[in-house]
Amino acid sequence: MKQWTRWMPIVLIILAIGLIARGQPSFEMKWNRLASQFQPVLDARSVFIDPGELLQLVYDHGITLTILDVRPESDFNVFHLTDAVRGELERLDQFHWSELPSNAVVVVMSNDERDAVEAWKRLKLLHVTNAYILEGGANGWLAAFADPAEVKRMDAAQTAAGKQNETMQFRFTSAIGGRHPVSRPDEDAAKERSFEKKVQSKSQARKSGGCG
Amino acid sequence: MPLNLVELLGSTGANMVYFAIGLAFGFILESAGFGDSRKLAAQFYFKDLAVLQVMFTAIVTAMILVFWAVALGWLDYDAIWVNPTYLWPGIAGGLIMGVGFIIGGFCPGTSLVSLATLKVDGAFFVAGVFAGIFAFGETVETFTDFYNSSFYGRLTLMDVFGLSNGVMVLLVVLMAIGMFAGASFVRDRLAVPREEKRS
Repeated sequence: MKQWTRWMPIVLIILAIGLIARGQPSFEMKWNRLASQFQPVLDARSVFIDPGELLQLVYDHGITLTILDVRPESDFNVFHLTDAVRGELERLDQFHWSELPSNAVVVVMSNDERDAVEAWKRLKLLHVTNAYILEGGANGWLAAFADPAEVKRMDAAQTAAGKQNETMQFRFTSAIGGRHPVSRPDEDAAKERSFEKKVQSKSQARKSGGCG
Repeated sequence: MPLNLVELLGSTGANMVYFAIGLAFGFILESAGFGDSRKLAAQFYFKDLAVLQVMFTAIVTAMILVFWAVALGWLDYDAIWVNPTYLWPGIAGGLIMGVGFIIGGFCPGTSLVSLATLKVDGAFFVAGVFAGIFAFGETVETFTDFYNSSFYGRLTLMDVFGLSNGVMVLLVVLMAIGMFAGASFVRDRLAVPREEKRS
C-alpha cells in the first residue's frame, strides 16, 4: 500500500468531523444569499395575489393549484379553504415539491401575511417556481367572501391585536374546516372584485439524473 | 442558483461538456477494469473487491466535496436532484438488477464501457438492456399501481435517521473505511488458499 493511502482514512475522518463543526447553512444564511434576487419581488408585492384571483385559480382546471396553509392546526380545523393543505414552516422541505408539474402554482396563506411571507421565502429556497402569497391571508379571504351574518368579525381592538399576532379576526360557531360555504365561494364572487392579475405559470426545466 | 450550462455555453458548448464528462467517466471505468465482466462478477465471489473499493471511494469523495461545498455556500443542496424513493418498487428493481449483474457480469453503465472496447459479452448485454427497456415500456401499464407505490419523495439518509449532514457524512466515512478494511481482509484470506493450491 502506498504511503499516502495510509493517511486517507484519517484525512476523510478529519474532513467529516470538520463538517460537523462547520455545520450546514441555516435558513437565514441561505436567504441572505438570495435576498437580492427575491426581496425586491416581496417589496414590490408582485407575488401577493388578491383573494379574487385565488378564487379564479380554484376554478381553473387548466392549472395544478396547491393552496398551502401555514396557520396553526387549531385555526386550520376551524376553517380552511377547500383542498388546502396544511404545512408547518419548519417542515416545508418535507413536501414533495419536485414532484409537482413544472408549471404548478402554489399559493401560501396564513392568517395575515407575516407567516405566509416566511413560508414563501422557504419555498423559493426549495426552488418552487410559481409561488404566491394570498393578500391579507385567511382574514383577507374572509373579509372578501364571508357572509357577515354567518361569520362575525371581531371588534376593532381585537382586529388590531390579531393583525399583530397573526390570529384569525373572524369567529366561527363551529370548527368545520373546509366544509364552510366560504371555504369555496361561488365562482361568480371573484367577478365582483377588481384586481390586478399577477399569477404567471412559468415552466421550469425538469431535473433528473441517475446512474446505471 | 444551479449552473445552467446551456445558458452559459449554448447547447453545443453544453453538449461538449457532457461529452467530456462522459469521456472521463468511461476512461475511469475502463482504467479500473470495469469493462471486464469477469472482474465485475469476481466481486460477488469475494475474489476481487476493486468494484467495492472504487465505488465507495467515489461515493465518499463526492459526498465530502458536495457537503463541504454546501457548508461553504458554494452549492445549493436543495437544487441537487435526488431520485425520489419508491421503496418496494426500488427493492424489486434492485433485486432484478443485482441478479442481472451477477449473471451477466455487468451493470448497464459498465456494459457500455465493455461495448466501447468491442467485447462480445458487453455487446450482448447492451442488446439485452435495450430489449428489457422496450419490454418494460410496453408492459408498465399492467403494473402501474405497484410501480408508483410506497412513494417517499426526496428521501435521504439524514431524513431517515434524523441526523445532521455532518454526522451522517462521518458515519458513511466510517462505514466505508470499515468496508475497505473488511474487503482487504477477505481478499487476503481468500488469496492464501489459492496460492497454496497453485504450489
